[in-house]
Amino acid sequence: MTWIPPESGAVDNDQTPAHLAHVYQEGTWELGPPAGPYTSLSGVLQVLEYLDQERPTPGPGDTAETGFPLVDTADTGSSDSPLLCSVAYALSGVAIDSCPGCDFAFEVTHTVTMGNPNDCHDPDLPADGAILSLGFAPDYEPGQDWLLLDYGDSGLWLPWYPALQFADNVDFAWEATIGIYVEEEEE
Amino acid sequence: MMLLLLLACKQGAADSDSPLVLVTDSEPALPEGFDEIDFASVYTAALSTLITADTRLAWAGHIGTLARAAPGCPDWYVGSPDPEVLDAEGGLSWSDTCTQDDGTTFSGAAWWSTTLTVDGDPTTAEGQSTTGSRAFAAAATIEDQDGVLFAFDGEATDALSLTDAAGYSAWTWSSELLGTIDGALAVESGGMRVETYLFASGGESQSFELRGNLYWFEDLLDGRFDSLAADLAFTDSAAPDDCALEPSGWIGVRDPEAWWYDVVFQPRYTDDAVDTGTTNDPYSACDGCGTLYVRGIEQGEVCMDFGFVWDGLLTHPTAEDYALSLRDTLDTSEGP
Repeated sequence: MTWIPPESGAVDNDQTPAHLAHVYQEGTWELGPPAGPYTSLSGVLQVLEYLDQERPTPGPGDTAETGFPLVDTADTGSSDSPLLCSVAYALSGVAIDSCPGCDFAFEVTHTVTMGNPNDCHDPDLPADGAILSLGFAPDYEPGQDWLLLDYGDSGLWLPWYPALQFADNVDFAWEATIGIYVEEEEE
Repeated sequence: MMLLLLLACKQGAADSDSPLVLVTDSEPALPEGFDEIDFASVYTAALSTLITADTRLAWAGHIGTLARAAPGCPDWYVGSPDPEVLDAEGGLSWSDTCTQDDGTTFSGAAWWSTTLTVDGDPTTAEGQSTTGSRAFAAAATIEDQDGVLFAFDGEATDALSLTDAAGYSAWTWSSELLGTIDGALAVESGGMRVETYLFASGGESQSFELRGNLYWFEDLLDGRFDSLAADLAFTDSAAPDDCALEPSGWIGVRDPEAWWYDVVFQPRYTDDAVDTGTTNDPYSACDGCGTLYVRGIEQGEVCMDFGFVWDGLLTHPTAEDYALSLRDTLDTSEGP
């Protein structure tokens, strides 16, 4: 780490990032056995990051096969593609009971089925094969359910994904926009 | 050396019958009010200040700063906002010069990174291991209408290791803080320039090392001293070769007239034991007393009760202090 303080007056007023990463993470848990008490889950987590633009709105004919919500990783990394990363995980989980205030919690194994998490900018994105402890906390905030993460397996459960339960399914999603440095190509 | 020069001057004057007569006191003058200084109290306060001048000061200012952030002010970045400003791998940062609607102003840039890992089971013989680390670097000022909330120009790092097992626990913690720091979110008193290194460990017995110095821009310790410096090692171990009554090393305070008042305890390093300039009987005794030197001239003993060091002053961060994710930083969540 080398810190070079900027020269006085070298920064513009209310400067804005030259480039933004628009981050989208969403997924689903399918809980079992039906109606509970739940002992296992399977599901998916999808991650998309776009450079300097929000996720395009799907057109009438768009499906997963045509690029929504997932885009094949062959499109990432090219100079004219706004897609910074596209990663899909398969999820599998076994129940645990260590999450305070949760209706149910699991040790969830994240297996990458498409893309490379290293292309993404969320520093907390799980690596291939990572096992995270996640729990479903209803009304963690007034009117909002959350998936909580046992951060670093420290026993500290942090709000991770806003979530919603429908019968034996839990949908969750998180979005963020953050500045990134992009090395400009020399002309 | 000074005495030899004075003698030479006097001898020369006599030989040449020069009208120049040099008259000096044999004892150098001490600073005004010297006899009124309660050195035990001063060094207790100085030590308390230096022990707590660690990475947590800068981190507290940083966390307080994050709580004052608003959408777009400041702007957040993954990694460095610009490698020409900050050459760092990973982490998060903000960089901006902006003013919020309530007048809170962010100016400059800050970068930080944390890690936290917990492995094992504390109920087993092998136990549970917790490791955490933090790094923070900034050249930034955050202000509101009431003044500076946090200003930091420098770097701060620390690392924590905890081991908990059945019938056993131990910890180590190290901290390095280098820079200038100011603002109510970080320091109770006025701003300071600080350079400290601390290493502390605990378990069956506690120990810590402290090196560094601190200079207040405006405040004075005991109304008199603007600077502190120390190189000390403590233990509360009762082992035969250890001394729990006093540290090894020295601590000094300085007044604005550049008088340094150093108290020297047991030898800190092997070379100290043969340093004839500071060797004396009380120096090597384990009795809670050190020898006071003013500008290098011995001025007697200062005796202190160091029990306050082990009575809650020496603490380490908790694992929670190392949990700071991108989600904690951003407030842009949207539900499904």
